[in-house]
Amino acid sequence: MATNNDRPPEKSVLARITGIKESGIILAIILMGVVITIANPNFLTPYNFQIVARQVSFIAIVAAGQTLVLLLGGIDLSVGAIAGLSAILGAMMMTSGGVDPFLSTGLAVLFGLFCGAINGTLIAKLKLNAFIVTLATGEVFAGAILVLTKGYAINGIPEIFQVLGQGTIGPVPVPVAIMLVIFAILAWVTTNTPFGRSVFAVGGNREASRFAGLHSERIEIIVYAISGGAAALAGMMFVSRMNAGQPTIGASWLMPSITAAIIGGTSLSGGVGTMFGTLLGALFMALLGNGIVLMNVSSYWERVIIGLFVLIAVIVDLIRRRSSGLSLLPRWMSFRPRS
Amino acid sequence: MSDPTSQTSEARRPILELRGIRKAFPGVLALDDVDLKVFPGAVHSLVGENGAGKSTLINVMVSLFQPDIGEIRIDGKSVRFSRPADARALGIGLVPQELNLVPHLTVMENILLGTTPLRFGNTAVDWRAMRARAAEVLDLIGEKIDLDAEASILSVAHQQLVQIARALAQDARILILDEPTASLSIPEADRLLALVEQLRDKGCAIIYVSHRLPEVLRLSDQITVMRNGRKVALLDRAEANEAILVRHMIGRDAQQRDRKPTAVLPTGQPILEVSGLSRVGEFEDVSFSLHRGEILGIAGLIGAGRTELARCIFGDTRRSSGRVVLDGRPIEFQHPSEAIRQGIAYVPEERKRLGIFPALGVAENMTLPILSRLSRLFQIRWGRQRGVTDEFVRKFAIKISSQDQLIRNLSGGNQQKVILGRWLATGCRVLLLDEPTRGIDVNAKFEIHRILRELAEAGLAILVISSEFEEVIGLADQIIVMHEGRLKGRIPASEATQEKLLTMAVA
Repeated sequence: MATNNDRPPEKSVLARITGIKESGIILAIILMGVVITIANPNFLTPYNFQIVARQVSFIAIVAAGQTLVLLLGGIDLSVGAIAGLSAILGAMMMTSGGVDPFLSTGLAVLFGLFCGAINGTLIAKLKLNAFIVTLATGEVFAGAILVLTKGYAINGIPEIFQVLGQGTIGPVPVPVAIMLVIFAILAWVTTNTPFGRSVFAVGGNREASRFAGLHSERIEIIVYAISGGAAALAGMMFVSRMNAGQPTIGASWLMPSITAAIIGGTSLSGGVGTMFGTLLGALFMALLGNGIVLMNVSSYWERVIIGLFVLIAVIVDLIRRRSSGLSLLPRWMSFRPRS
Repeated sequence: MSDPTSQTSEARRPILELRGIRKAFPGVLALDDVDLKVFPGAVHSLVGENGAGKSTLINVMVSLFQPDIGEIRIDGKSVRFSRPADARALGIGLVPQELNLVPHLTVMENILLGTTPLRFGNTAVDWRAMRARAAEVLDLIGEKIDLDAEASILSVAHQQLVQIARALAQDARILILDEPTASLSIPEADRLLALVEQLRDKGCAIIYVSHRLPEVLRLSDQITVMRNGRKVALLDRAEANEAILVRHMIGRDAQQRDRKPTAVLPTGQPILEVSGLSRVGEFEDVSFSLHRGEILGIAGLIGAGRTELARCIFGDTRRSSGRVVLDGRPIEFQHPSEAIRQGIAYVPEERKRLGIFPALGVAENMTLPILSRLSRLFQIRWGRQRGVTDEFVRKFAIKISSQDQLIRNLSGGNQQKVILGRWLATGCRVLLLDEPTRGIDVNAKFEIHRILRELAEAGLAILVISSEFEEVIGLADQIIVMHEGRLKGRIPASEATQEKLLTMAVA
């Protein structure tokens, strides 16, 4: 009967999702929390936590998609522009188009998926460099925002739509709830599904993945599409939050989306990283911003400090890779081999 | 004893001497009290199974690693290196197993990388001097290679020569060659060995690292055998033979190796039938059939089109013409995944680049192609994954610390067994193997051969591509030989000899 007894113990589904490699960033967050609390007890208030969590949710959702792309060994420089363009289109649909605001949101997310799929198709089918492709399409999308808006915000967003960015479910702001759901889904997908594991495989060794029978091109297109879709969703949430379709939505989201992933332990070279880590990375950055305000430090310092933390994270990753003999360069930095 | 390195000439001063070298890494003692003396004008070979410490020792010699304890002497003087350039400056040149040419630079730029002639007060490249110097060095090697060709378009053999030329351009007096013939065909390897002898005769001290014992016996004046980080034997050529070396390497007598297979001609319907298969520029009009329980060897030289043939059957590339029939049904795949679904598996030649997923664990590496089959509602059922992995870990006696151990931390032999497990787990009926034991140590090689024979006995149809004639003869039932993309003939393994195969492969 007990045929399975001598098998090594299994990791539970939950253990796979949470992972274990994030101890460093967790420690950093706790440490920072202690320091800020000592400096300003207002930090430890539910109100402050709500603010921080709401702030982090938009960029965290973009970072979730970005993490998937980085795991694949790619990079998506167009996330901010996709977020912005989808948001503008969504806002136009629900204002001048008279479409139901939630249907508009769905269509905007579909549009984001579509934009991402274009990126993915160019990169996978034409074997183009991800950095260049998304840099270029990002310019196209960002330019389209200006063409559509001529630089003016789109006002007259229906009041009912405010719930997406400003509402709460109990004590939890709606954007935070959405963020948690997205992360939970993507964490499960990356750790527990054949598709998710294939992303790691393709990111870790693209050439071998073909010989293992994986459809790396299809996987690549889907991943970029998800990245675009996540960005579009964040963009729509921001429309709701601001009650307007501003042409600047997403303009500053690209760097934090990559930064959160890197601080959270995702490797730029592909194949290594977790969703949980990215969530913590985004949280870390938000707390840092919050702490700087609470501690009366000039907010000009925020970018300096975050930049330094990114450097630390990259160096840690480099050391880890060097000692383990993995490749050091991201794929989009090197010439692509055949297939 | 006229041998310059025999005991009588101990008075001769070694050009390079290592004394009591010890190097530990977290958890492993990679080198333990290793001594080595290398004399000018002599070849000193290093042999040992993978993981015996040869690579670490080389890395100490080229000062990539600093020894924890021990002394390095050059020309009798104790030296301390702090960076690779120091070793280079003292005349130690390395031709690494994995060549490190810059693919998009020309041959001459690669040869003179690091010693580029300059002019105008060292501000500009002196192209004319560069060309002259590169030609001079290549002349020394005696091989015509286009100086302006990009390194990436050269054959592996030529890339190797360029790498040797680079070491010579740096005035290396001690040349370390790490598995230089591993990816060369037999005539190419022969030429390389002749070159090594020629360099030795010119007074160069050569440290030769190879798994190929006949080469070692041909070249060496002395042979150091390593096992588990220790020097277990130092032999003069006169006292060494293959059996003695293998015994020292594995620490016991080698098993009887070439157990000849029963040469019963396969009967019945073949499971795989290839007829007139061609792919322009790669192979032409290839026909053969493969039966259940048969091991068919494909012998030939590198570049004979064997790998290309296997990859075409596997659906990695499209054929130009011809027919492939699997179990009575014609097949033509657009992608390897279709081949896998139909029961064809392919183990590629470069395990590190095309086989393993270094950052994933053993279980995932083994089950990647069948993850969907192991899943319910997109959720991978981990218990089933463990079960499948466990089955093959036991069956093939794969040494792992846990199923989550990263595959890159396994030895080459164990990695290859994981990959074999990967394909058997798919339930394949036809297994295509491309150089299945390249770079794998002797013991693991025997084991893999044994596994393959057992699989064949159990009814699997196996196609083995190997550039080692010995391996093909020892493993296969039938052998086909390819030369420049064409089939040269088919003979039963029982009638095959290395000479016969070589004659067919080069003619």
